[in-house]
Amino acid sequence: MRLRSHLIVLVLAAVAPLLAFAVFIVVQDLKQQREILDRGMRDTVRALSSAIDGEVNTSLALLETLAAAAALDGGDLKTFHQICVRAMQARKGAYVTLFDVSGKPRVNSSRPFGAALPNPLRGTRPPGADLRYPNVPLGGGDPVKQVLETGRPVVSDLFISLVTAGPRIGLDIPVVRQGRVRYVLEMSIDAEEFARLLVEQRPPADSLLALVDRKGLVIARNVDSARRVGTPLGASLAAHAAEPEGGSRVGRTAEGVDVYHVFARSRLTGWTTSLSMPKSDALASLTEALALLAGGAAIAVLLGLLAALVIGKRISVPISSLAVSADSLARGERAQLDVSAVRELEELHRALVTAGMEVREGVAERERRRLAEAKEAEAHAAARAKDEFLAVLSHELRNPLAALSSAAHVLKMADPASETAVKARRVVERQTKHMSRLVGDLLDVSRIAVGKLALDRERFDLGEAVGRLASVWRASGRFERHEVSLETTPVWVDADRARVEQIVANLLDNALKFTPAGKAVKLSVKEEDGAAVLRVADQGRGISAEAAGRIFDLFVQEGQDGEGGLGIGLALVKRLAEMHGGSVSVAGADGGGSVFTVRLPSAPQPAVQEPAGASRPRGARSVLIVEDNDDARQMLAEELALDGHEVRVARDGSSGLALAGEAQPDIALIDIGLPDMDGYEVARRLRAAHNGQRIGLVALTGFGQPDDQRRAIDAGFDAHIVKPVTAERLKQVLAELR
Amino acid sequence: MILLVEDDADQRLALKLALELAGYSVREAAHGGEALALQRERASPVLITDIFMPESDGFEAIAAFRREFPETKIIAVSGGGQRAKQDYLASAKLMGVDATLQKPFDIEALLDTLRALNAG
Repeated sequence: MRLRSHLIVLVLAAVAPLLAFAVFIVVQDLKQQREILDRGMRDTVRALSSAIDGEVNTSLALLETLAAAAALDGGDLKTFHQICVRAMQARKGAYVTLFDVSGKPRVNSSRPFGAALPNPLRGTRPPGADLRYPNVPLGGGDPVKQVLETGRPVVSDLFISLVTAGPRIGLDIPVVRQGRVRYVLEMSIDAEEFARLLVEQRPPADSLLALVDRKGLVIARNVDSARRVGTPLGASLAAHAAEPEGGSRVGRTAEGVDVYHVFARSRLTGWTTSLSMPKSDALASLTEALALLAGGAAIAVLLGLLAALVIGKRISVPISSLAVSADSLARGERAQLDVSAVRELEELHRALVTAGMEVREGVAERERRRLAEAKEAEAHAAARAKDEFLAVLSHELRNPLAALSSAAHVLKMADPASETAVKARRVVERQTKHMSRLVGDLLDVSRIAVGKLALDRERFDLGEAVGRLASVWRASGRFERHEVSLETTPVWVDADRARVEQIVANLLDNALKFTPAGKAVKLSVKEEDGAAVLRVADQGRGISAEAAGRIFDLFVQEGQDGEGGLGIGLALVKRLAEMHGGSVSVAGADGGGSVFTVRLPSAPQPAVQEPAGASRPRGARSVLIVEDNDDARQMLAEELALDGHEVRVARDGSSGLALAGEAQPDIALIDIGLPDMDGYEVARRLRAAHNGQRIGLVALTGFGQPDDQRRAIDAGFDAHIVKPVTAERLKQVLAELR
Repeated sequence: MILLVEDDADQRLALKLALELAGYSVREAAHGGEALALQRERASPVLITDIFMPESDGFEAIAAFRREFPETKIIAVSGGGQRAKQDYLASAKLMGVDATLQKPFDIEALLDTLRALNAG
C-alpha cells in the first residue's frame, strides 16, 4: 500500500469516529427536540380543545337558562322570542331556535316572531345537496330528532343551515315540563365563530389548527377556514385522528404540506381538535444542524484527504528519492542530495548520501588497494616465475652444454675411429637432439604465445600414431626402466600429426621422468563421447589438487628444483591441445601417481580406408638388434623404428639367439664385440638354425678393415656396417637385403 | 683414481671419456649414496660431484665425504641453482670443498684444477 493510501486511511480513521459521534449527538438532539415539540403541541392542542369545550359549555349553560324561562311554562312563545333575542344580542353568529315536538320551528331569535321557518325534520337532506359543501348534510334535523328521542342534550356535527344556508353546528337541549319534553331548544352557531375562536387562542405561528366533527369534517380552521370548512382532513391526518389520543405523528395536510400532527378529542362534543406543525418549520433548526454537521464532516473529510495527498506526496517524494539514492549507491554511483520537506527524511537522506559517499570511497579505496596488491603479487609471482624459469633454463642449457663441452674435448683428443670417439659422438648427437627439443619447445611456446603457430592438419588414426611413437621409444630403449603398457583403439582425428606426437612425447617423457624405475606407465587411446581420448598414467608421487590447477601454467614445475625440467612441456601440451579444440587435464590415479588425459575432437574415418598394414611404411621389416652398447643399441633401434620397422633388441649373443628363434625377424643387426660370444658365432648359429637361410644378417664392427669384412662374410653375414652407423648406410644396407 | 658423481648419463660418460683420455682412471656413480659406497670399498683421492641430483644430492655427499674421508679432495660442479638463497657452488665452498666449477666448464680448466690439487 502506498504511503498516500496509508495517510488517507489515517484521516478516515480519525474522522469516522468523530462523525459517528456527531451523528449520534444529532440524533439524540433530534429525538429530544421532537419530544419537546411533541409535548408542546399536545399541550397546545389540549388547551385549544378545552377552550372550545368551554365555549360550548357556556352556550349550553345559556341554553339551559333560556330553557328554564317561565314563558315556556305557559307557552308564551312571543315573550320567549323577546327573551331569546335579548339573550343572543351579545352572541355574534349564533341564534336560538325553539322546535316543538313535531320539529316545527316556533321561535327563531334571528327572525321576527311569527316568521315562517323551515322544518328541519322535513327539510333535511343528505350530504351533496348543497354543491358548495358536498360532504355536509343539508339541514340540522338529526340533533332535534335525537333530543326528542333521547331527551338528552346533543352537540351536532357540521350541517348546512336551512335558514342561513351556511355551515353551522347546533347545540340542542330538551325543554322539559311536567316530566315531558315539550320543546327542543337549539343554539345554532356559525362555523365561522369557531374559526374566530381558534384564531383567538393564538396558536403557534405557522401551525394549522382545525376543529373536526365526529364525521371527520372540518368545522373550523385557524387558516383559510371558509374554504376548507366541510372538507375532511388530509388522509394521513384523518387516519391519525381516528386513533385513540396519543403522541404526534408525521403526516400530510390536505394542502400537501408535510407536518407533525397531534390531536385531542373532546368528551363533551366528540369533536377533534387537530394541530399540525409544518415539519420544515418544526425541525428547521435540526435540519440546519444536521446540514451543518454533514457539510462540516464532508469538508473535514475532504480537507483531510487533500492534506493526506499533499503531505503524502511531500513525504513519499523524498522517500522515493531516498530509494533512488540507495539504488545509485548500490550501483556504486554518487547519490543525489535532494532537499525534503520532512526533516527526519532529509536527515536520513543526508546520512544515506554521506554513508554512500564513504562506502563508495571505502569500496573504491579497498578496490584500488586490492588491485594494487594483486598487481604487485602478480608482478612478484611473474618476476619470481621468470627468475625461476631463467635459473632453470640456464641449468637445463648448462647440462647438455657440459656434456657437449666434454664430448668436444674428447673428440679433439681421441682417435676418430676409437670407441671413445664413437661414444663421444653419440653423446653429442643425443645432447644436440635434447637441446634442439628444448629450444624447439621454447620456440613453440613463444610462437603459440604470439599466435604464430599454424597447424598442418591431416586425418589420421590417433591410436596408430601413439602406437608407432611408443614402438619407436621402446625400440630406442627409453622404456627400459619401466613397464610401459599400451592399449589403443583406432580413433580418427583431424589434427597436426607432428603436434599431436609432440603432445604424446611430452606426456610420456613426463611420466617416465616421474615414475620410479620398475613401476608401470600406462598409455591408452580410445573414443569417448565423440572425442579421441589419450591417457598417460604414471606411478609417480601423484599430484595435489592445488598443483593440478596450475601444473599446465608456463614455467610451473612440480617437485624439487630442476627436477621437472623447464616447466614448459605441460604448458605446451595444454596449448597444443587447445589449439586443436581439445583439452588436457590431470587427476590423481588409484594407488598413487597421476593420469593425464588429453581430449581431441574425433573426426570421421576417411571414406577410403587404406589397406591394413599401411601404417607400416612400405618395405617395413622385423629387425633384431644384438648390441651390448646401450647407446649404440638405442640409436639403432630409434632410427629403425622411425622408419617404421618392427624392432627387437638384445644385449648379448645368447638372448639375441633366443629372441630370433621366438620372433623370426627378417633381419638381424649383430655387433661383433659381444660379451658372451662374438658376432661371428651368433651369425653362424643363426644360419644353422631352422629357417636360418631366410634371415638377413648384418655385422656391426668398429674396424673397417677388409679382413674384417671377409671374416663376416665367412661367418654367414650378408652385409657389414662399420660403426658409427649412419642412417644413410643403414637404409642402404636394408634396401640391399630386400 | 677419480670418483665421478653425476646423475646425467651423457655428462658422466663424456666427462669420464675426457678424464680417461687425460690419463686418469675414473669410477662412476649416479648419485651420492652410490659414490659413498664405492669410496668405502676403495677410497679415491679425488671426488668430482655434481650438486643437484634427484636421489641424494651433492651436499649430502660432500658432508659425508668431509666427515668420513677428510683427505679426499672434492671438486663440486654445478649448472647453477640456489639453496637458501645462496648459489649452490658458494654453499659448497662454505662446506669446505676444495674447488668449484660452473657448468659448462672447459675440460682444460678441470684438468688444471686437478693438477693444482696435486691429486689423482
